[in-house]
Amino acid sequence: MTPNASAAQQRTLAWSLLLAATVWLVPANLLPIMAVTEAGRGNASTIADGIWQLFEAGMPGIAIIVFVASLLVPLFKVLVLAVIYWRAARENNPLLSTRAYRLVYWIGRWSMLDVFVVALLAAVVEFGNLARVEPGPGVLAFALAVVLTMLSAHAFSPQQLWLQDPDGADHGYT
Amino acid sequence: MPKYRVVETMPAPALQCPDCGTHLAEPSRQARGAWRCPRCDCQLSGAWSLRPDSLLALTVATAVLWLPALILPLMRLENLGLDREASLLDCVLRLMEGAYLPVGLLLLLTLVIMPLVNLLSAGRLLWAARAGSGGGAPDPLWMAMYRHSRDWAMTDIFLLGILIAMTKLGDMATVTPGPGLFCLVVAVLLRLIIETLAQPDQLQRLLEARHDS
Repeated sequence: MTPNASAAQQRTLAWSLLLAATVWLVPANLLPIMAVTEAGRGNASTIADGIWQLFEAGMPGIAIIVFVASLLVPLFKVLVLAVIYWRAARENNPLLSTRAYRLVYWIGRWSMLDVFVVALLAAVVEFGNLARVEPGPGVLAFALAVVLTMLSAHAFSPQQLWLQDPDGADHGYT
Repeated sequence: MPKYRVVETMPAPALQCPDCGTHLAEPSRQARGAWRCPRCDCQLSGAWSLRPDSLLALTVATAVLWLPALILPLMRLENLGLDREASLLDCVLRLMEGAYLPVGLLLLLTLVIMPLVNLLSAGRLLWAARAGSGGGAPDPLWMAMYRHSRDWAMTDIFLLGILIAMTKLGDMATVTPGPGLFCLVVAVLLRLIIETLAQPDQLQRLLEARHDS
């Protein structure tokens, strides 16, 4: 967050980072994030597969946590940020947008959950030919998407949402 | 001395809300509860007063636990007579191999470097905020590091990741939690307490009050 950048410059940077994140979300959800090899048989799974496996294993609570953190939150975050950036130039409800921004800023970190699970499984399940877990290319795309959305939210400062507000205050912007 | 702070010409409005830029007068010290900006609802200080000495003690306790949490095994997996342990550092190193280096570096940043930066910056700022501390105001860089590390240190999320990994492995092998897990849980809890009580804006005001007068 550079305080000297103008509001429009900030939005351009935030938009481009958000766009890059959206692009990376596609391979993140389509490519396998890890491959489990058990007794010689390989089995690659995407994010959605992993959630389904948790459901089938009889752990709906954890499945819902993973579903929210790794599927819902990244999509929801990109959409909400896009709406906030879109409205920022002619903001008429700054309080609502600021609240949405704070929410998205806070929940964004939790998307890293899936990357951590893959790292843990890959580190601990290594029994040679009997069983091993290898990370898949999806985890790379997913991590990039999460970091890019976080950077996009950081590039935008909520101060500029209050520029159009009638009972204005001095923001230091020109 | 603090060159980053432009001294306000009018004395009454004590500070500007960081989110919406409104000039606000600081409430009396007797006021209880969290202080929020009336215009944008930004939390300007927590519900508790900031006590640097006790928070510094918690920071030191976290620092003691930090290294064991990093290198002791988090969990132990037993399968067909074979067993395997992995620590936090093993997880990071495992993804640093080959094409997954960027993810490995990201894990290094969020699980090792940023928690360390958080510890050091919190320690430095709280030390300067103590009543009897000598020396000048800390470099504004420490505050910037503290703010960033609060966003990028993700050991709390990693804990949830451990829980999910353990349940996933439960049906395939015997999983036993290791000593590293205990250290990590306590370190994360302590960090959450410190971060909740030492709000950056509140800490910044305390530092300015200590070193301006």
